[in-house]
Amino acid sequence: MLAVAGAVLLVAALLPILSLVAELPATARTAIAVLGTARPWGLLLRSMALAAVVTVASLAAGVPLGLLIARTDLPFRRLLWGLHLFPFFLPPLVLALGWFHILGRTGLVGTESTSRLLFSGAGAIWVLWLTFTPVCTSLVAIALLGVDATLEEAGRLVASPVRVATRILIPAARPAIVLAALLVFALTISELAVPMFLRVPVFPAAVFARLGGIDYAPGEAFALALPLLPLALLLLAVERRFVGPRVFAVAGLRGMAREPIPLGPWRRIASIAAWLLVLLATAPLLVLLFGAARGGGLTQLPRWLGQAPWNSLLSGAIAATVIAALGLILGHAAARRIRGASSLDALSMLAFITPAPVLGVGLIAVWNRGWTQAVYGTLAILVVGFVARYAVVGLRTVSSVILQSPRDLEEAAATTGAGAWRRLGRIVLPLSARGVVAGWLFAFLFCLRDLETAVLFYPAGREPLTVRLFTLEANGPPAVVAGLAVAQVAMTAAVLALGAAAFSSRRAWR
Amino acid sequence: MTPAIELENVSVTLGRRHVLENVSLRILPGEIVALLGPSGSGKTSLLRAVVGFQAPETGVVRIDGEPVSADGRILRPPEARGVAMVFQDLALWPHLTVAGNLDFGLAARGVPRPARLERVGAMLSLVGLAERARAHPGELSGGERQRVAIARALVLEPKALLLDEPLSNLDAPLKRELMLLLSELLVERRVPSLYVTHDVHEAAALGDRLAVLEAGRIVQEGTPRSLRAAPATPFVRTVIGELPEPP
Repeated sequence: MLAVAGAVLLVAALLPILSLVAELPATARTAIAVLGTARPWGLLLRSMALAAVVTVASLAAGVPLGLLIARTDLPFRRLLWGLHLFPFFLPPLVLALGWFHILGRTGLVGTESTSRLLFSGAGAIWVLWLTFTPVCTSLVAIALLGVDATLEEAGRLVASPVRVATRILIPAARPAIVLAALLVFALTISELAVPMFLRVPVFPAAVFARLGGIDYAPGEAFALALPLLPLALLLLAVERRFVGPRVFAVAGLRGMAREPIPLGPWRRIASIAAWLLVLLATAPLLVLLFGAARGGGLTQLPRWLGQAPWNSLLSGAIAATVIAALGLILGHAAARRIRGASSLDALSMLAFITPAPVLGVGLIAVWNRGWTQAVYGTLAILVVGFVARYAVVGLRTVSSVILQSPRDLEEAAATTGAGAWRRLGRIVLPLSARGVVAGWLFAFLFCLRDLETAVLFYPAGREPLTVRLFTLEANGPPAVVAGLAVAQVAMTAAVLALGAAAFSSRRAWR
Repeated sequence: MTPAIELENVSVTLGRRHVLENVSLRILPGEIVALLGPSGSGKTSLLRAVVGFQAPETGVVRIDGEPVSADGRILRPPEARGVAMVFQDLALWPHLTVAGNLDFGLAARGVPRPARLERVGAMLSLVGLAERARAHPGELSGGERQRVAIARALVLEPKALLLDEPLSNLDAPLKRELMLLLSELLVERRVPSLYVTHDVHEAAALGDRLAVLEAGRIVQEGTPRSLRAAPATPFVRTVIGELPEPP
């Protein structure tokens, strides 16, 4: 069982990375020529600097906000959390387009100088900060909700709330903070659409340019992807050292029912700051809707959408189902420390934090062959790419839920004569169904928002909505582009609403 | 006579800690052995080695004379040993009904549905839970949950039964009631059983024979009378001293 799931993951995720290494001898001369110049290294440094700044800024806002949401009497905490998180499930390009409709030359409050500010490194940092801060907020909040209440209570007997927060709660959430930093760094360094839209030269754009358009030179794309490999391995080493498959979601949202820490006179200021952050990330979405409606973008939408939403939904749903199944088997194995599971967990994490161009170029190397066109020329390649990149989402979600379920329940099944499949199907699956549903939903949302991986290998005429938005953004009518962005927002919101309904209808067993 | 359960020079190490050292123990057919020991003495590890959740580093575990674990290897997985177990925290599956909990193992062993229904019904009647067949574990009282756990193990008609402190954390009247039930069921069915406890009264009431485990070693075996006559360690002297003098 583990062998089958492991084989699927190896084919989807490891083969593309290995194929890049295998191509080294053939591309050595090109690599030396391409990497022997200063330009790619300058771009790489710029991308790393952008990722570092966005990561630090996201932590600076996300960690305190996570603490406020999880453990204080901030008003309407759940609503605030939901609204704050929503923009993360959208491709960052949507938020960039929203801010373009506000600060661009023809935007709501746009002038020459606001436009110049938006179309700069600062603009890219601003948009990516707003998009990725919820990752930090949510991971920290979830970790804090899982902290044993008695640890906090023991602290509050002898220390002020601020001291308890900084000396007990935040250190307890350290693995979550490190994970958040890694994820934001990896997502930012993979980001293609926002820097390209805002005219900020970055490394992934250089790889992308060699896989399409007038600079087409796949050999050079291979060469350019190479420096990203050691970076991915470094990120993985940090992840294994400080995070690993540790458990976060211990108490779920039930932890919010605990007596919150009173903010006292700071409650008003904290509320204003938190809601301002939410407003900055959600108001541009409303402006997009307004822009699309005013320019007739919504009425023209059906003609421009084509099959793109269905391509997104179909490839995302199939990939999420595969990921959930992998998550159940691999997540269970990781939670129960079965031999080999830790390596597969590390591989899935490596595929996620590997900059998207590496994985994309590797997938092209593996699957763009005459006899694999049934995969490469169809939506199947999107499914393979999504499974490779987002398997860790399902794996970690399910394993954190299985860790909450006593091992005794499975052992009791084994003593009654149930084999491994029966235990998985009749005991593990029903007891962790909420985790599997959550893993499926998260994986689906990640697939729907994906642009940076899919844009490198989407099959001709079967592009997902994110890619349609990206390709039309350059020369499509602005109102139509805004309409496509609104369609992406609506699709994500509908999936979230359906997912929340399905999730809440599942009974939690006591 | 071939022992139902036999441990021969079994040693188990967890991390750097030796939790069992050269433990040898035999349980004959129809015999109930009470394994008595303080917390941390290795009682649960011994059960896990018998049932197959833990491979002993050295030594052999045999069920009905057949080696099932030997020298660090699991030769037969837990599901193929034919041994049932009542867990300390009961481990009832919360998503299955009472009847579902009993039915699960029978279905796994390929028992046809009509026979399963009959056996589950009969066992639930025996433990006084026929009316609660469709309830979920979360809806049961503590005593009822305990009965379900015992019934779930016995309905399989196992080769041997392992009980891991099943009555700990119960109040005295409930404990007395369940001890009576257990005693009746085990004696009537002649199921060879290993009953793990740290309560000498339970051990003496249920066990045909007592084995005392201290710091991972069996320090003494025998009837309460023989243990009282020549206690091997201060611990044995203390715990046996808690029992009333025989008339």
